[in-house]
Formats: sequence, structure tokens, C-alpha cells
Amino acid sequence: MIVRHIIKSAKNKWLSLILLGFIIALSSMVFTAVSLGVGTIEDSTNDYLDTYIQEDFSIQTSPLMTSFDQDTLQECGVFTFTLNSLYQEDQTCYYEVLNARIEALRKVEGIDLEARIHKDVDLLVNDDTHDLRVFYDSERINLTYLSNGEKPQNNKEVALLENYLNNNDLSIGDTVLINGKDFEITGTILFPDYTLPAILHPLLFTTDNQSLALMHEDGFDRLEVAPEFSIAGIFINDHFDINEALNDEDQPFFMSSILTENNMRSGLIYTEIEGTRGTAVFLSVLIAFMGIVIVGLILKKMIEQSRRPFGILRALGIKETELWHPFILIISLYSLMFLFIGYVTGSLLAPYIQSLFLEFYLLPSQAISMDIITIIIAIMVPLITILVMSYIILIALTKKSPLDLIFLKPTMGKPYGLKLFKKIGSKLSYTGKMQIVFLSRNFIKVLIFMIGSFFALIMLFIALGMEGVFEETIDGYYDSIDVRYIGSLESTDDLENAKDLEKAIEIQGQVDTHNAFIIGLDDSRLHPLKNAQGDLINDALDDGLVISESFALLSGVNKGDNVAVNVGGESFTIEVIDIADIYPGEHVFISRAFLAQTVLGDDGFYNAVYSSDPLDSDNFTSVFNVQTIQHSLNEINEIMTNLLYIVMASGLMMGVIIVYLLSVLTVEDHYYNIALLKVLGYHDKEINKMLLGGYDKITIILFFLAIPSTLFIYHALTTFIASEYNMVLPFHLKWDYVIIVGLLYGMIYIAASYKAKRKIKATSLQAALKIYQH
Amino acid sequence: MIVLKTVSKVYALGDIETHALKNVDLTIKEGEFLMVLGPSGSGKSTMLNLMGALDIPSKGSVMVDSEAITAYSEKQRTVFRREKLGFVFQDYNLLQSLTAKENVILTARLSKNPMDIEDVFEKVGLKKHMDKYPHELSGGEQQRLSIARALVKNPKVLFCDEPTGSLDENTAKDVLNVLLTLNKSYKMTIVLITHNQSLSTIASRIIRLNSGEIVDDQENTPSKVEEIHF
Repeated sequence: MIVRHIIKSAKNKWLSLILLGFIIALSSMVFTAVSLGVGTIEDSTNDYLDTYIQEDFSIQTSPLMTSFDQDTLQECGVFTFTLNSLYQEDQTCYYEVLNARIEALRKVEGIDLEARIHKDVDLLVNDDTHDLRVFYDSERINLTYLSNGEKPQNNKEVALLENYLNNNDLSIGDTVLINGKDFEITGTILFPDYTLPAILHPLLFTTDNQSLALMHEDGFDRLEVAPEFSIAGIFINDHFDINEALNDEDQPFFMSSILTENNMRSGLIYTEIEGTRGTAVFLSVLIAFMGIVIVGLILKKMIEQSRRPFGILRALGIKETELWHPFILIISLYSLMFLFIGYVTGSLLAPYIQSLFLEFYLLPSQAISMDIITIIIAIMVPLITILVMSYIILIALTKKSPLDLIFLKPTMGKPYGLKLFKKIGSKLSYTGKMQIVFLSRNFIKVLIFMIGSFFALIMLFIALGMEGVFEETIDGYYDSIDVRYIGSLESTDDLENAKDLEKAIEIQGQVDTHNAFIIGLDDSRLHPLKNAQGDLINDALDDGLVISESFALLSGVNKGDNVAVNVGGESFTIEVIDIADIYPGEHVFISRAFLAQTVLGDDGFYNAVYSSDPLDSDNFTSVFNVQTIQHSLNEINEIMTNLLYIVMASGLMMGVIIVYLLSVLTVEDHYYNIALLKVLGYHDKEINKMLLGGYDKITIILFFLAIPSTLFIYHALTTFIASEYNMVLPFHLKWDYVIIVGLLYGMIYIAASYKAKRKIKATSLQAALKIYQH
Repeated sequence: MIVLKTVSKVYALGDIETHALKNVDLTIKEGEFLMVLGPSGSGKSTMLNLMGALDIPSKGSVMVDSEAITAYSEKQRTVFRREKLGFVFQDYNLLQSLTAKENVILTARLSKNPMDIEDVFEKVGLKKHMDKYPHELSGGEQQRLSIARALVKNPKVLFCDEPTGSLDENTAKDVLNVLLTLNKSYKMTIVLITHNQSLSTIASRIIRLNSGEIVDDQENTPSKVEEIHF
């Protein structure tokens, strides 16, 4: 009978209860999907990276010949400025220089090292030119993981990424054209030092038009391109700071070392797994918290409405526990049903989450299996919490004598924190005071309303902040310049028509101990530099250094600072004249002639040319087409846009549910007050203003609070990514974002609170008063 | 002042119809203190709801202060209530989150011509309790506060639904004295409904309801409140 009574009472709240069930299911779903999806990846990733010996750190050495290399060069009888030109002239000597450097680094005890040599080449697929980074098999560090087929056995075979094959309708056995030569695909591979295929740029990681590749050493040598290399290292025992163990005298060629976990291509996966898990736990706990509190509010409402029948039943001899158990039974079944729905939906979504990871990250896939811990956390923990809270509410509200239950007066006591609210409201209008009074009477609901609304607002702002951030970081830079093709050179002697091209030097170096990509420019027509005010600042290169905004943020170097530049084994001090408003990475600009003269004693030196017209690849070691990076960026932007829609839709949905549930609950709780105000002669609009006007104001305040909070979150995200990965993602809060979020949130608030306003209109004048008059 | 012409009110619950009032004709003069007596279910509250523009009759018309309120829309009835009527309930129906003064302001701001708030508190004998919260007042004081709340907007008619129902004898007498004073001093029309026959002696007119019909309607010479025996 009591069960029937509860079900009958619940029928009046079917929409609220379904939305509540949705919240409960959502918390379970978020946790399950991420826990199973990411958990499986985490386990298999750790096994994979351990088994295939992922490097602990990577060392970069100078691409220029240094004093350390002179002995080897003399023995070879060769003289060159750069390693690349050495490779062109004498490949044996190139490897001798490389081995000599590794041997010098081996003086540091407690590490093992291995050269990681690659060549960046073109791959022609369906008339499209894609980018390929080719390695040959390592022996001790970063071992090749063969996911399908076989490793290349001769100079005409290649193994590529599985994702790349899938994205380009290629399969094992097909033949592809790499740098003009045919290669047969024999298998698919992964490298543990590339969990992201960040080839063109650390932020571009699609496998639509770029891939990693494995070749036999003979095949590698068949590619007529100068190799590039880093030195992969592992710690034998304890980890220590490599930079401190090295010095300029013994290893003058040393430029930098970067730990795996701080390297975007190899370490982002760790942060991603940790971050995704943390975010999922935070989200599910937050959603579950809101859901559990709303369960409590609805239960309290239902019990208060049932107090008279309960009092009568108690008077007839029914025990308290006999009243509680039907409630507990129904709450258990209802919660369990939605928690289970959430778990099942989460389990179904888990492979999708896993595939999202595997779309970007280069990791072995593994089947998702059931996990008892996930079931306990996703279902049992929230269920037990809901039941404990329900018991507490039942005991608190029904452990009274039968007469007290029958004649219980409406709880209209002093609101929480009344003095504080009174103080706040002392200078307000009477309506404002009434709003404060009603808000203080609904403290818990207001709190949940604030958490839910703020959460929804922040989700909307973050979603919009994601829009265009990659574009601004990468595309923004290439859009700001007219350079469309960059030709890299080994030797400048034979370059025809060089006089019509813009000469440049592109080289890694250090500025005040911070790694920098140093670009030497002449009075460039194709590469204008502009500061934040939009002024052209190329002339500043005549007087000193121009640094990019991203380098300024990463290094802390400012305009007017005198900085030590270390490049090609040479050091000099120079003033920072201005900051260019670009975010491509650690770019630093300097006069090309000054750099060439200072480092190499030859002001005519350059190793790159810029052009707005296509370059003949026969004249260059490699030709970089800016459109390639822009094409990759479009792919990333498409994925980011979809992600943006998902996050925005989730934020909107959450906002609608929270605003709807809490405004309706507020109106239901004040049924009596609404009726009284109506009897006294207040219009519906005036009552709306008194009762829900407080929520209007909170919504507006939250919106304006969300703006600085978003700025703080953007700043925290930018700082975190910069400190972890030496990469600046310029999240900017734009006015149009503020307007869009304002409009969206205003719309959901108006739509979701409409029902509450309808309820106020429908409240009977005298019926509610009568409820309390018996 | 108040005219009910062949007023009937039928409540339908499924197929069952309950006739709460049956063809009631009644005229209440300005300044009258009318006592409506009757047992539970006799139609007292229904009659008060219809006269108080809280509900509309199934049949017949209700005129208050020469206005045919039965023809009014919900919105017009709200305006009518806020400008011309006051209500006092058995259970006071005060907003516990507001002080005594704020409860009174709640209705004062509805009126175009409200009375002075301090005067009103003076009248009901609560001047020194203006800043207290309802729960800090006794039952009688709370009821006097609810009278003050009704009185402040200077209503033409004051409707009282069992105003002494929750009070002990002495406190009830205090409240009735306040109502009598208002009736005499301000010539305020008061309609008081109760099932307690002993209160009827203080009214200038008494009607009795039974099964939705007026079974008795008589003028009365009011006695003093102190003479009432509960």
C-alpha cells in the first residue's frame, strides 16, 4: 500500500524524476566510460612502453660543426660548417662525428645511449604528397613494435603506421612512392618514442597525411636525403638531471636534453591519461553530488507531502521502519536502474573513448574487459551514498509521534545565515529582500543551482576557447607571413636563382639557457614581423633580437633584456628589441648577416630560402610546403570542432536539467507561500520576481563570475602546457565568446525556468493554505 | 456592500458532485460585523472564498463594493483583492522568515492608501514587537500580527476564517477585541466565519449555514467580548 502511495506521488513528478535519473546515469556513465576506456589503454601502454624500452630522455646536439668535431673532421680530411653538408660530402665521416659525440656523452655515468636517426621524406599517395619520418630498427632503446605483417627485410620495403594505412585506403602488400622510389608495404609498426605522430609540428598529430616509417638500413640509405638525429637515452638506475652532468668543455656540441614525460611526442600520453582520469573522476563526483542532493530534496518533498497519511498509519500501529523500507526499496530500485543504465552506456562508450585515444595516439589496442572495481565505484558507491542519505532524511522527518506527523506545521523557520542575508539585504528594495529571504530558505538548492550553472557556463567557455586555438598557434603564424615554400639547403654554392629568393638561417640554439628556434632574416618582404600593436618591426633586427610572444611567455625574457645567445658552439650577448605577436613555438628572430658572421665568420651563409612560389625540389635538400601544415591543421580543427560541439551540448544539457529541477523544486517547496501571496493580492509576475528573481540575479552574477574564472582557467591551461611541453596554446577570451555563452545560457535559463513559472501560475489560491489548516 | 444573488458552488470529483452552496442570497451592509456559523462542511469557507474573490461561483453573482467580481478575470480579481480586501486565517499564515514589521510591509506595499505601520502596530498592541520574528511571538500575538497585516492596507472588508481557532480563551478574547475595535473605529465591514457558536454574541448580525444553505439570518445586539463563555 505504501509502495503504491509512493508510486502515485512520484507520478506527479515524472519529468523531474526522469531528469534526476538522467543525472544519476550520467555520473555512472562518465566514470565507467573513462575508467574502462582509458584504464585499458593505461595498462597496455605501460606494458608496451616498458617492453619496447621507451627512451627516458632525448638529447639534441648542434647541427653545426663545433670545436669538439674538428679532430674527427681533420682525420676525414673534410671541412664543412654543418652536419648536413658533411653527410653530403662524406657519409662515413658523418657517422664518425656522430659516434664521437655519443662517446663523449657516455662519460656521464648511469645512462645508456643510442643514436636515433631519421630522414624526413615525401610519400606520394593518390597524387597527394604526404610527410614521412623514416627510421631504421633500433638495437637497445625505442625498439620497434610490429603490430601487423613483417618488418622490412630489404631496401625496397617499408612498414608504416596502421592508422595511416587505414586513413589512406592502403594495405600491406601495396606499393608506395617514397621520394620517387617504389617501396612495398610489409607491415605496420609503432615506435615507443612517438606516441604522437608529431612530425611536421608538435601540435599536428593526424595520421591522414603524415606517418612514421620503418625501413631496413639499406632502404634508409636509399633515400637521398640528409638524416637528422637525436640521441635517445635511458637511465640505468636512478634518474638525475642530464643538463647538470654535462659541461661546455667536454660536450660543447650539447644543446639540450628533454625528458620523455616533457616531450610532446612521447610524453603527452602520460598527462593525457592522468588528466582524463582525473577530469572524469571530478566530473562524475560533481554530477553524482548534484544528483544525490537532488534525490534528497525530492525525497524530503515527498515525505513532507506524505506526513499526514504517515501519521495516520503510525497511529494505526505501523512501525517507523515499515514506513521507511518501501521508500528505501523504491529508491534502491530506481537508483540502481539508472546507475546500471549509466554503467552499460559507459561500457558501450568505452571503446569509443579508447578509439578517440587511438585515433591520436600511436599505441597498441587492447580489448576492453569488465572490471569489478569499476562496477563497485560506478554503481555501488553512489547507490550506498544515496541510501545512507535517504535513511538519514527518513529518520529525521518521520521519527516523530503520530500526532506530530498529523499536525505538523509547515517548516517556515528562520532561514540559514539569516543575519548575514539580512545584512546583505538591508539596503535592498523590498522585492530584493524577499528574494534574499527565499534564497536563504533554499540554501541547498541555491548551492546546487550555483554549482550546476557555473559548471555549465565554464564548459561552454572552455568549449569555445578550444575553438581556433590550434589555428591561432600554427595557422596564425603562417597566415601572417607570405612565405609559402621553405627550401632547406646543404650547400649554397650551386643554388641558381638564389638572388631572387629570400635567404634565411634556421637553426636550433639557446637564448638565456632556453631552447630556441633561431631564425636569421634579411630585410624580409615575405616574413614580416609585427608586434601586438600591429607595427612592423623587421627593422628592429638591425639593432638586436626579436622574440616571439610564445618564447617570451616560456622563457620569461622581456623586451629590453640583454640575453646570452648560444648557437653552433658560439655565444654572444644581444638586446631584445621587440616581441613579435606570433605563437608558433620557441621562435627567435635575428639579423641573418649578423648571425652568419658571428657564428661562422661568413656573412653570406644561409641554410634556407623563403619563397611565395613553388621551389624546384632538385635544388634543395627538402622543400617544405606551408599548405601541408595548413591541410593537417584543417584535419585537427575538424576533430576539435566535433569535440567542441560535444562539450557544448553536455554543458547546455547539464544547465537545462539543473535549472529545471531546482527552479521547479523551489516553486514546489514554496507552494504555501505562493498561495499566501496570491491570496494577499500579489500578481503572478510579482511572485515570480520574488521567488525566482533571486535565481535570475544569481544567474547573471555567475555569468560575470565565469568570465574571470575562464580567464584564470585559460591562463592555468596555457601555463601548464607551457611548463610541461614548452608549447604555448594562446587561449583568448573573445567578446563574441562572451556574447555567445551569454545568449546560450540566457536561453537555457529562460526555457528551463518556464515550467517553474507555469507552476506558480497554476498554484491554487486557497488550496495550499487549506493543507495546513487541519 | 456585499451582495450574493442565488449563488451556488458545485465541486465535481469524478462523477460525484458536491453542492457546497445552494442558491444563497445574502446582502451585507457596510460596517456590519457578520458572523457566519455552521458545522464542518456547511459551506462557510466556500462562502468566504466566493466573497473574498478567491473563487468563482458555479451559478449566481457576487458583488462587493458595487463591483460584480464574478465577471472578473483572475487578474482583475487579484487587483480587487489587493486593493479592497483583507484576510485573517486560523493559522496566521505569516512568513516566518520576515520580521513582524516586514510581514506587515508585505501587504502595505500592495495598497494605494496604506495606513501608517506604527499606528497599525499600536492598534493591535504589538508596537514593541515590531522587529521580532513570528516564532518569537505567542499564538495570540501572531494572530494580532496577521490582523495588522490585513489592516495595514486599509481594506473595505476584512474576512476572518476561524481567527480564534488555534487560540486559548484569553488570547482569543484579545483578538476579538481588536476586531471589534476595528469594526467600531473604522466602520470596517468584518465577515468572520467560525463553528464556535459562543463567539456569535459579539457580532451585529449572525447567519447560520447548514448543507450549503442559509438556515437562519438575524440581527444581533453585540455583547462585550468579556461576556463570551468559550
